[in-house]
Amino acid sequence: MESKDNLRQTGIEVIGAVPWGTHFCQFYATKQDLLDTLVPYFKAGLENNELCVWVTSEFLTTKEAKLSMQKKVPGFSKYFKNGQIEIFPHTEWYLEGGKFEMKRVLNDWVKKHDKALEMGFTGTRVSGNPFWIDNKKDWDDFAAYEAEINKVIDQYKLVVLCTYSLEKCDFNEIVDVISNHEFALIKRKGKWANIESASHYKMEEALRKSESRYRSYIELTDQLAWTTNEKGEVEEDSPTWRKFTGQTYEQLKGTGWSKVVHPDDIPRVIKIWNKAVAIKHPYEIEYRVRRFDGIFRYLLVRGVPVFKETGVIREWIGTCIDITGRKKSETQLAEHAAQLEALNKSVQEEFVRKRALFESIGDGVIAMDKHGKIMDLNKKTESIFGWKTEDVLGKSLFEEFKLADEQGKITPKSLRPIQLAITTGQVGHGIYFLVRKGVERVPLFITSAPVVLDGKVVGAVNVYRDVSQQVAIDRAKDEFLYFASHTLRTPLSAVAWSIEGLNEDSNGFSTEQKKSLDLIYDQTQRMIRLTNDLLDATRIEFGILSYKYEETNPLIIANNVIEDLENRIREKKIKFKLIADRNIHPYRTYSNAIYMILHNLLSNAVKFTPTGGKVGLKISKTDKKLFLQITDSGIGIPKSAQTRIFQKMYRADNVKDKFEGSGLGLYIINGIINHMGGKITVQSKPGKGATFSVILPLALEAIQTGNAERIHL
Amino acid sequence: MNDSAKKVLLIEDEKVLLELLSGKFKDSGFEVSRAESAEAGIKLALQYHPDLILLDIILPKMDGITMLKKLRQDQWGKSVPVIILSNLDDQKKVSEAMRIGVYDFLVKSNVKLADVVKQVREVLG
Repeated sequence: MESKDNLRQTGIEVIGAVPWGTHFCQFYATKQDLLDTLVPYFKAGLENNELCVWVTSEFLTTKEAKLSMQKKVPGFSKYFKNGQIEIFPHTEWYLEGGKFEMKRVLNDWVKKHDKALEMGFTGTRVSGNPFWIDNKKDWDDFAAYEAEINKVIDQYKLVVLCTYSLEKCDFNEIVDVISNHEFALIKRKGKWANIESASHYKMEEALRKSESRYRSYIELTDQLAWTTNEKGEVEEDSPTWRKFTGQTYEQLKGTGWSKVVHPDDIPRVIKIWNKAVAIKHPYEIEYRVRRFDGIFRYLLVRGVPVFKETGVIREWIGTCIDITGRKKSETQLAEHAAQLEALNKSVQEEFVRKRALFESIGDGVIAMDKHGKIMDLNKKTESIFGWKTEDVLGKSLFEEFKLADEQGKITPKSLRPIQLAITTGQVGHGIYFLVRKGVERVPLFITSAPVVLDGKVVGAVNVYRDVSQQVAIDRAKDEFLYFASHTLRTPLSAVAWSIEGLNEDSNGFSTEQKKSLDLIYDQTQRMIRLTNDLLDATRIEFGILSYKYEETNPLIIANNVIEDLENRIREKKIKFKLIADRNIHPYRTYSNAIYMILHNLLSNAVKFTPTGGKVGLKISKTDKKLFLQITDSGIGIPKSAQTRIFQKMYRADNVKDKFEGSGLGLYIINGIINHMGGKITVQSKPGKGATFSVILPLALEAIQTGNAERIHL
Repeated sequence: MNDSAKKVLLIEDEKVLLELLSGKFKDSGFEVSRAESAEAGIKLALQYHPDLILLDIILPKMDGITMLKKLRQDQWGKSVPVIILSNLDDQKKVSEAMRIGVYDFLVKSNVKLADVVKQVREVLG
């Protein structure tokens, strides 16, 4: 609403007051028509302290204008003298410099306006007459000038009345003129009438301005603006849409705009649109639109219905925002979230799997920090120790249970395997007996492994294997060995020693009796050897044959064996030959194993070699291996038996009835050689003797270590 | 037999073997004391201070190794020569005995009585 101060009296009866910024026109036919409006118009201006500027034309000259004013306006001379009114011809204004230039004229008006305010006038009232226009170009330029005035006039304290000659205007020109002014005055039936509604024009103007502002805003925000009719058909151009999609107006109008919507999105767009129309409600939708460069972009489209007074939708207006970037971020976020979720899931799965693995271990497992505080344990631990997890978590391992040795002596904290793990970072293990109240001591094989993080021991994981069963088996082994060694050997010893005594005092015996005594003695000795072999074979099978790891000279052992067999070698007149390399020196190995191997192979050689035959032993050495080669000129081994002679209780056909033996000797030494990482082979032809070759590695450290760690109970 | 005869303490729970051993050592000129258990053996040892002890491992109640440990704690007992004469030749036992300190570890069924005597004579010089 315009305030009263801004309303200017036009002096024209049918118009009354108008606000600053009013641009209107008059169509005239006669001079009197012009004077009827312009004289009261300027009179009112002068009386209201406005600068008045009257640009005249040939139709009504400056002189005529002044005379009319002088007649009708009291004190005109004073106004004129004070410079409140300027009356000059169009040649000094519109055509100054010879031709019409819109910008110059507009600038001149602005200067006049500013000057008026400087001079203390409230504003400027002007009138112009384009009677001078006589060609189409000037008419178009002037029309553009009038339109331009409309755009800027609001900013100024200006009232503009343009007078147009009816004679000079054809119908189209009259329409142009009317459309370029807020209203027009025209004489109808002798009376001036206002032929265009000023309020309507103002509203249009307001709308236009508002729309212009809206479009500027839209452009600022990189949005696309659009309008459609009530059916969703584009009737109005949308430059922003055209710019974005590259569509022409012809292409986008009607439903053409949907041609650039992504085909996959069309059904959804239609569905939402139909719903919005049905409920007459603003809507919002995201869909893809093909940009001018062919790339589909995500647009956020919002539309609102504009209603007629009757409540019927007149049109839809809306905006589109390119949200591809946001969408991308959303997609990336979603992908990221999905990845995180997947990762989380896999971590969880991994955890569950590890947990399942942890729980499925048949041994008790306890994880501790470096102070021995229990951090985690599995179900098996609960059953071994008779615990409940929640009762021991966070407690000290040393407090929760005691360990003892086989005799029940409590193992001090410093000797427990975990201490080794935590203090030295090495794996500690051994057999310990768990001391549980009211329960028999439970033998446990405990392994304690340090948990090393960044080179520092941060804790340990202990594995507890209940070896009760193993211990029971070991006891059974022990009992068997006790039986075999003690129970069988004791009576044999008694018999052997008794015969020994009898032999020493056999003077009174007959030859037959002496023969019988020898037989008993031999058979007893045989029985003793069988027992010894049985014990060794059993120990080999149990993996508990004990080895003496010490500084050993194979040559000295060979000599001992030869000494042991001396009687038999002599009795059978066997030519024995020992060949040894000069480099045979003592080294650390299983001395008893070397003895057993040499004793077995040499005694076999002597046994199976006929009287007067040959037996040889060759000992040689390289950097890494010891070679023992035992040759004889004995009965030999049938080809078919050669692969089987190392089997338990196997005895070749050519020996089993003629020679005493248990069938265990080669089996035992083969076991020993294998244990030492060596190899034994045989070459033989029946009747032409046999050669046994033994290769033993010199370095037994690894085996030795392993052996030392074997569980012996 | 004379006054300077060496005294041998035989600790063996198998009567037959103890008889055979005892007879053999007596015949070989030794002064023999006999015990059928570790408990009796250590008592005799500490009482009569034999020049050498022949010790079995498997004995009723206390075993030979335990007796040996106790013997070694005695001022006199810590240096008396001991030869293990047992049918139990488990390497663990052999090692243990050797560690505590014995002259030899003989398996009864694998040695002749004459060899036992020979070994004892060697030890006693």
